[in-house]
Amino acid sequence: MHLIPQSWSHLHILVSVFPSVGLIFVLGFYITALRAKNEGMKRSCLVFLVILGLLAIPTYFSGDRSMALLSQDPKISEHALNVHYGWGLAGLAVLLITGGYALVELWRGRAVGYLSDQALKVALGLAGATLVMMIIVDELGWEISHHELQRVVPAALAATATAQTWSHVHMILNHFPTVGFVMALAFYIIALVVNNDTLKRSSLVVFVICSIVGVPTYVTGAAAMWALTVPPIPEISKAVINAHRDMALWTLFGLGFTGVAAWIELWRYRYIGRFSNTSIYLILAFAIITLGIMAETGHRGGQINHPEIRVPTDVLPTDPTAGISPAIELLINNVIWFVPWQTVHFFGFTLIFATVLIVVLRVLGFWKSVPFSAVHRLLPIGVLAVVMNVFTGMLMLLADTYRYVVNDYTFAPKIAFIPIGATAVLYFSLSDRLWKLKAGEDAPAAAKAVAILVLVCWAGVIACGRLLPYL
Amino acid sequence: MSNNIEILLMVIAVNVCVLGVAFIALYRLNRAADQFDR
Repeated sequence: MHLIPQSWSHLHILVSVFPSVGLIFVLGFYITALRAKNEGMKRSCLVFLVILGLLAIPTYFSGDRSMALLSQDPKISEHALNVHYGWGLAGLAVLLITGGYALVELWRGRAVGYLSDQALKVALGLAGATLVMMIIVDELGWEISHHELQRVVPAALAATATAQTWSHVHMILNHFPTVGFVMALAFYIIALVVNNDTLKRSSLVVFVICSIVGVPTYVTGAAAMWALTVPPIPEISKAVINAHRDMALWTLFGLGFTGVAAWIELWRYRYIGRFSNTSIYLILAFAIITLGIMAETGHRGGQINHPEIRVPTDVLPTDPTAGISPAIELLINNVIWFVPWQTVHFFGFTLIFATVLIVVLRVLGFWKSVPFSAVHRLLPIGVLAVVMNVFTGMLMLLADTYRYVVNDYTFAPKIAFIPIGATAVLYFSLSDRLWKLKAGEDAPAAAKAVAILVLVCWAGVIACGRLLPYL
Repeated sequence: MSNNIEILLMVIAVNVCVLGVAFIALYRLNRAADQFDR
């Protein structure tokens, strides 16, 4: 592993994702802290805004040094570098102002003993403005070295080529589980140290969300593989992609373990009213191991199309048939392995849909004699079934990734419905208003809207899955 | 013919294992929640 950057470009790529993707997660924690009126959590978020503000310094210097090196490369556009640099300076200035403002508020709050509501709202507005700037800067930064995104495939090969949109979406998505895990882990450790239950619950929610995002990240990665290899791009190696893909498989398992353990603890908290020490530290261990695997996955992903971060000691794989993923592809193509896992997949979606239907119908006003807490008890059935189906779905995808991601029109909407439906289901396990819904009471209108969304999403997953062989 | 029987046996074996593990996990979770349920 070369997680410690050995070049300015490598440092810039690593550090620059935190003020953008990292900021989204800090904003999520910050809005939760404001809504929950949790002072400790508000202070933690301000500290993170200060840290992100400080990251403007290494981001600027590493960017400036890598620009000097990259401007000598004839393949790199001088114009793209200058546009990214100009917007980058403006973005970093706003980032510094946000970090500075958060520091001043922390200092003032310490002196007077409380944080001002007005100042907290100003910090929220500044952080939002920083995020918008950073998204623009990141988008312009990608254009510097990711020339494959603008690739025009010759007309004769167009029928077999995969849209580069997949590569772009994969590059955006893969930063969410990675950076999200770093931020969630940092907040989680603070929560354990200061023993703040709201912060613990929020961190667990982020672990679950990152795990959910892991599914479309893996699938778009498979599509990006085809976009980069058929027709081939000379400087991109299938063997290097396979090495990244193998690690991504382990990441999917790590995300599964951490996400499920975090969700179970959130679910149990409803009944017990406190966290189990064993589970809390087990989740911490899962999260640390998963983050390590994800860091290596990210590094291997970076090696696919960033020759500037490679060092002389890097030994890149050369055999495109080596690794776990090609071995699973070979095995699962045998009907004796494919059919049993497909059957598990079918059992999985009947369990998901049954759970969803019962919970959704209660929220929509059916069986009002049943309190919501009674149907809340059923949620683990749906969650375990989702895990079953992610695992079996991944196996089935490996049987013929090209057919699913390139040829089948209903696969993309199916994969888009999964995270939307799963995140909406998270609302059922977290909502305090629903939890307090007694027998005979009507659910709030917002909950009913979420219920309809959940039903549409999971019905969409099943319908799109069934249509795969035909459209 | 034996291939069909092999497939059937594999379907039974894999499903019994996966659904069995899921059932045990759900049963234990449910029992833990039972102790504290309202």
